[in-house]
Amino acid sequence: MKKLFATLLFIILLIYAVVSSNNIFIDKTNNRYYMLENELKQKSETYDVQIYGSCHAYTSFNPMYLIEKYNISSYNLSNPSEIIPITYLRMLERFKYDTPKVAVVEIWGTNPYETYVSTEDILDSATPVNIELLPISLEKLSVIEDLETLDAIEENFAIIKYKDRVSEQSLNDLDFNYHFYKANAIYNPERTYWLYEEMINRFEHNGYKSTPVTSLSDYPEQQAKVFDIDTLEIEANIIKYIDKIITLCDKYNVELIFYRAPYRATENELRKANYLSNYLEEKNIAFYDLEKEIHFDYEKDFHDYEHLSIYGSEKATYFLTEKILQLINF
Amino acid sequence: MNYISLQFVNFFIIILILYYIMPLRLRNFLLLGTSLYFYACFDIAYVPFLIFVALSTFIVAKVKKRKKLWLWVVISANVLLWFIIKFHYFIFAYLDQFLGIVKLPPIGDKFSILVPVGISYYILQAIAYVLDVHRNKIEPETKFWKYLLFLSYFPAIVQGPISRYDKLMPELTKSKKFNYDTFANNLLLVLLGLVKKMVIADRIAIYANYCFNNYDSLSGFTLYLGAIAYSIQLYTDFSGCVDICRGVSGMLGIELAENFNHPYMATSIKEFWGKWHISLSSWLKDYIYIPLGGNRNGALRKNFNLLATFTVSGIWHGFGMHYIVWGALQAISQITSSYTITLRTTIKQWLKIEKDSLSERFYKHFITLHLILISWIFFRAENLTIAFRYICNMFTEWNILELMNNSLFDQGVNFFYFIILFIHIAVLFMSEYYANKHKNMVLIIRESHIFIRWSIYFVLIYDLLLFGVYGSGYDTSGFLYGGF
Repeated sequence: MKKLFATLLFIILLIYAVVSSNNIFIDKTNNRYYMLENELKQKSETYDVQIYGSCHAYTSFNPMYLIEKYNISSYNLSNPSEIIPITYLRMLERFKYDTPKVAVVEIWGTNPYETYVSTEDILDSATPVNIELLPISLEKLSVIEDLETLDAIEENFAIIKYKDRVSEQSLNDLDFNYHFYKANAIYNPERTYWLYEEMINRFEHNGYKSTPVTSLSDYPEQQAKVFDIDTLEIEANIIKYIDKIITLCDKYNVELIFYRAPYRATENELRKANYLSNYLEEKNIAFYDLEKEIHFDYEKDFHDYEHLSIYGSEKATYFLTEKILQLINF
Repeated sequence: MNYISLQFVNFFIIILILYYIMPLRLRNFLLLGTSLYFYACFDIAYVPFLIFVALSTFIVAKVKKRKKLWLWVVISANVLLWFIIKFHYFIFAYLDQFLGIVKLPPIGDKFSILVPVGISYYILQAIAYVLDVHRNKIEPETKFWKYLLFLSYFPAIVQGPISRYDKLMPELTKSKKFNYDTFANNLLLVLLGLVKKMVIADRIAIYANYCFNNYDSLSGFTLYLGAIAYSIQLYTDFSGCVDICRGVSGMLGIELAENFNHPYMATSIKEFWGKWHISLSSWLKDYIYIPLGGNRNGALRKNFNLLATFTVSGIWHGFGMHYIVWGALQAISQITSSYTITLRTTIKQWLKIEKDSLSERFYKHFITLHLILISWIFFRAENLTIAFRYICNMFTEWNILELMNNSLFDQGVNFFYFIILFIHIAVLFMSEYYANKHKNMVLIIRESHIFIRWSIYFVLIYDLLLFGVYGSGYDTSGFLYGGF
């Protein structure tokens, strides 16, 4: 009995040590999920409206306006290149301790296999970073299995995935509360880019500030065909997680809105958006294709071909807020 | 299914649970089923070869009439089978060359023969079994399934140790109740084996491979270090894997024979062969060297027997003159040693090296290790020409200052991992030296205070997690002795 107890104690200590080591070995400056979670832990606030999705969600929904105009607390929890299965896992995790009244989900993440970013970049680079520190669960293992390109061991044990960082360890690696403010203090222009700065902006202002940098001369070509295009079925391993998001929101009694932010999409992406629109309509879930709903000014509403500017996001946020207010009385 | 894979871990955990909840009398059936499944996982087509070897030797061991004739028939058939399977590529290459001379079309590309994993090991076990029965050393096995289990036992089928029937069968058939201490000892042995294999062998292999792949453009000290790296790689790879296999078997309550006894602590080639790949060395001694006459018929015959035994050892390892030369070098070193005792004594006196002193031990170690080092170059090289050129280049442009420039760290093992490797190798050989003088390293750790013991466990686990070579890009089929 004594030996059995000692063995159990050893196993518990080992698991604790390995899990703690995950936080040391992960490259924190590269993991936005890690920084976001730690940032929010420090704020220790709850939000009535939570926004999920990829950078398209981040650049199209500005929580700043909600608090200014309607006094509704909201937070944009989106992550660059986040695909729908991971959005589901993050909602699952977040709802456990912060259940919103409304969840707003942008649907770029339903297109990992055909979009303006290569599938390899999405599934081999961004997705592992977005999933690696989500707590281990059967749901997480199921997502890993469905996506096929991920490794169950590496995505659950950062110590294994990042073992080669052992020779690059710094004091920052021992800071378990590492977040964007701190990352900003060691700002390295070569490692960061526009979105990264905007993420810091998100924490300083709980909003989005990017101004237009490009005049999108050929964007109206896409706009012209948005209404005429037919439908294309979304992959089964993706639609499965749309269903899971719906079930999850049902379980927690959270109102759910899906929307599509405008960006230069492939024709198949537009077809899939139409498919999803029909699919959600059958399930009586709100879906808005902002490209169809709002008139955007191609001179100033876009930051670039893929993301809205501060002006475009204002239009999108007001539109979505109106829809939120139709669903729920705050 | 490789011993170092998640697949094997899952497989073994299931077997372990089933094994200990199953009634004692059914456990060997489980082991047989498991062993056959494990072997079939490599390729189902390997299994008929195993069945043939098992069936032929099992039947002949029971034959009452014309025993000697049947004995030689079955040994010849099995050796011939092994020879054809193992060397068919070279046989067909030579045959095609001959057919080309007589203007006939080549036939080599029409034949593709599988080389079953572990065939070199279980054929030796089977031959030893029939010979031991013939010599009345053991009684023939009455149950075929038990004999099949002896040959196919999964922890030993891929790269040994080559078990003897009279040693392994009692282990397989004894009552195997769960024993916490035995289990923990063997789990630690597996952990130590994994560290040897994944932290040392696979890391140092990067440098050794670089040297052997670029021997033409390298010289002097770099190639010397490359040869040392390969010597360490071979030992840690093979002994690490054997530790894993022995540990896995030990967790099932079945003890496999020791295959290494701190070989690089040897002070002569003869001693080295009593410590290196012990199961093969003792097999060669018992079934080739002694039947040939051993050292009973004068010095000349003894030398011939040594040469023949080690040449067979060379052939067993693979096809090519470099393996034969490697084997012959072992014999020549021992023969030369016996003829140069007077000369060596004179040299030691001239150098003022006293008998049994520290300097004498160092001198003996130094000479022995360098003889082994040279022979490993033949073992590792792809052919004889490459081996000779490697050695020639090693003795040109000898410049120890190569250590001072950073080129040493540009070949896949950077400065950080070089230091890590150095620490591991130093700890390995210091612990081997200590264990050689005292007792088994596993027991030393297990008998220490719980705080020290757990600290060592943590260090070993983290060592493996952080410094082990694994993950994407790692070839899990890469056991050096698995290919023989």
